[in-house]
Amino acid sequence: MSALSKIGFCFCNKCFSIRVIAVCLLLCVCLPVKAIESTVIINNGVEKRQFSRTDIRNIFSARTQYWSDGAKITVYVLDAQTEAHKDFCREMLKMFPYQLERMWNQITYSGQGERPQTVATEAELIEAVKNTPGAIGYAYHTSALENVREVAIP
Amino acid sequence: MKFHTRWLLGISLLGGLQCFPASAESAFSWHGFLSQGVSQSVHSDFVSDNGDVSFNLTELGINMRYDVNASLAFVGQAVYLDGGNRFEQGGRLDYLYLDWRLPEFSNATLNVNVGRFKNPHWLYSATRDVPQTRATIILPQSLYFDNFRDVALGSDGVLLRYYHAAEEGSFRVNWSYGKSPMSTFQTKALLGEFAQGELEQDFAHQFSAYWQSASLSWQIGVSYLDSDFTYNPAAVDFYVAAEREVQLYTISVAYFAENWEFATELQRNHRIDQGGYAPDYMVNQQGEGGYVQLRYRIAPSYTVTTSYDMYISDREDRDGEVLEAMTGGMVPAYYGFEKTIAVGLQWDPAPHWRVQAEHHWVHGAGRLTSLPSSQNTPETKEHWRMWAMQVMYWF
Repeated sequence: MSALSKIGFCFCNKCFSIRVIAVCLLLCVCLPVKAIESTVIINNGVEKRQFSRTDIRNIFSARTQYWSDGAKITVYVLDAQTEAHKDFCREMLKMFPYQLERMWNQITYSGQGERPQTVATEAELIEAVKNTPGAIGYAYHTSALENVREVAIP
Repeated sequence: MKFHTRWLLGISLLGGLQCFPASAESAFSWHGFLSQGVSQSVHSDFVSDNGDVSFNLTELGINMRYDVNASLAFVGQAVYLDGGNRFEQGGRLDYLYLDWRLPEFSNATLNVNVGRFKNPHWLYSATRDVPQTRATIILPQSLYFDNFRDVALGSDGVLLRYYHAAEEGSFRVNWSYGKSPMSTFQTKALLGEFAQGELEQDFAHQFSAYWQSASLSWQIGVSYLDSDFTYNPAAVDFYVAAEREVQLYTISVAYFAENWEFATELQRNHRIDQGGYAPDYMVNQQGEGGYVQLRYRIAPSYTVTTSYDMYISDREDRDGEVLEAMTGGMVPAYYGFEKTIAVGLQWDPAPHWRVQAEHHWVHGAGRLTSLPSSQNTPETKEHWRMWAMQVMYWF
């Protein structure tokens, strides 16, 4: 009898199978759920072609509010409580949603700029970006994208 | 302004503005906030003279920004504030300035603000009167001394804001020069109830630099303030002409994790007073203070906060005994320091709504302006406490 068996670990097939299933379930709980992959979208009229991650972060945190040609940037986002917004903050902006909210509040209430516009659904967001000159936003169902441009972030 | 009158004004303002929302791409934008709370300071006149439960915790504000073009904007905010004894009750033009943005170069921007601007030099200073931006209803008094709010909040002058962002982190530098108008309330807050003359701030010169890591986890900053004040006595006055020089040196650090965050600010001040009580009266002393604050999100809509705040008015008299001896026992030793432990809870029941509550246990009275004198016996005891609850809405 092995030392493990002595302290109560049974190695019969049934018990072993139960343990394997339990470990798999545990891993499912512990491993992070795959993030919702989103892509940045912009209005077709925006001239800028190359974006760095810093550019995107500056735009979504309201630090950059105009395109280089002087056109106003209008940022669209989903509600802060949606998983899509949370994942966009984490994966694309590399910050937590509450940090973004703080930055918007600081900029807005000290008069330094305008916070993004919040819309209810992804379809509304895509529609708003499509119809608003200088607009930028994000989407996660990229197959539904029409008349907006996807932005590749290096 | 009566309680119901101020709220009718606030609700009318809100209703009127909501009827005319600015379009997404409009050059004009506006925002605001409304909040009402209840508070009490027990064994202290920090909130009210009699220690009763007070509804004098109202903060209303409306701001606007008009972008003339990509580089020029007019910005302003008006507020109505009532914090009981903590600061002057009434309306204020909080800020009104011209925001001139110079052309961007290499991911760096420079903004020049001319007019009445808000000081961006400490972690909370730019939005300390905006309730939803604060971790606690009553901020740590070592740095954010309520009685001195209006002078500390902003200046009439010029502010330069430099911001450089890169993949490895961002860097922010602020420089400002200006002065604040001093009200009778501010004069008495600094010099006591019996000051009859006029106090002027000659200038306030400030500088701050902040670095934030690429992950935005760390924010580290230093700041410096240099300011002079002059007191011009009235024909019949308790005080003679006086001057005060103040320098503040501050270090600010914040760390942000997914569910918790830590912030601390440490400050040392150097103060030289000449005149006032007598033409040859002079005080040259250094004080210090600071706070540590921990916030934890226990659920998406709930955040708990705890903090420890400490202020010493004279580093060489940390327990205030020299102060008590110098005043012949008139000013108790505990007016030389103030140490506070606070706990608070924030609940966000819906977007743009927050309910906040907190309790503070305080040892000392070093951050109260109701100094004891031969004709004034304040209510504050050595150990006192206060609590506050506030509901806020912003748009």
